Amino acid sequence: MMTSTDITESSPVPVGCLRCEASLKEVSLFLADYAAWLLGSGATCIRLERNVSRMAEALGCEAVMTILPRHIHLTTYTVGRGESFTYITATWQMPISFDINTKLSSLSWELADSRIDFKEARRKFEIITRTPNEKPQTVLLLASLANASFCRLFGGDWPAMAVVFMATFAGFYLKQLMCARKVDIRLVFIVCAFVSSVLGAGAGLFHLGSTPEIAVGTSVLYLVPGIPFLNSFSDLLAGHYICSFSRLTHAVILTCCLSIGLCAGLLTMNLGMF
Amino acid sequence: MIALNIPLLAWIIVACTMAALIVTRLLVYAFRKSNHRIKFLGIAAESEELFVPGDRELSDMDYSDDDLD
Repeated sequence: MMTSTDITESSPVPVGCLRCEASLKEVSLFLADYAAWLLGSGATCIRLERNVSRMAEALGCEAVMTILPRHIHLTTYTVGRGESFTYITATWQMPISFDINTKLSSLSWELADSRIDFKEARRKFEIITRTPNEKPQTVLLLASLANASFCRLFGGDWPAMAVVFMATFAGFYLKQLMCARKVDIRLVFIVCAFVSSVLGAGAGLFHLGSTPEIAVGTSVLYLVPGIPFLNSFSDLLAGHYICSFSRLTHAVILTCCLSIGLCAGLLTMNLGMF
Repeated sequence: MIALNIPLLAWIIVACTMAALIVTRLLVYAFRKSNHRIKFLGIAAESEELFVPGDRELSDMDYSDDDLD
């Protein structure tokens, strides 16, 4: 991480309605870490801007950010621009977590509403960043059930649902294994889409039920990168075009990898696409 | 000549591979969780390898070599 200071963090910043004091550097570092975690957990740029501005105002300073896909440039300055501090931080590459996202947003409101001071906010932030992930087995089971439910929503019958459940279970389990071993996410998508589509095609191969084509189509839905697509459009509407196009590119690449795996599976199983 | 059913073959390969992977991971997980350590190789006393009814039990043996007198 690189830092550059216009003026050093010599004097503490009067922190508005809070009773504790903190230096401009401490406030900046806290806000930069907060921003990195919030962006890494899947928040949109507009949410990041609002949360950081709210917290900076509560702490008696103002903050301006440049949000890039992998980095955040944060400048905080006192009212009247007597002092300023700039910090550049890299965003965290982590799985999307709405749990952390929600908790961090709540933290910003608690600070803005003066329910906690700066020291308490830092303590809570440390606790939030240590939030354990959901158990992989739970996520695996719930994702398989969700995908089977999608099959039902699209008109699949019960045998198709069972096939989709098993295909999703196998594909998602493989995804968890490969991601744990830091395999490139694009290769993960290709392989998992292939495995799920081949297993999903078992409904037609063994003449299970009357909707085998729905089983094949819905068996790979768990891989669709919905959140990057949604976030990219949200950033586009908010005017953060760089982040928007970055997220859109990432989502399109993942979708292409999914399609490659799906097409490979369909070709292997001698299934037509139309 | 039997025609090769590629879709069936592909499905069987993928299904068996995934089943083997899941079962292997479950077995490894269960083995690591259990405290019991199975020792596959080791050196045992001769009486443990070849036992004839009438031999003295291990607990009755001592090492004073009084039989050699």
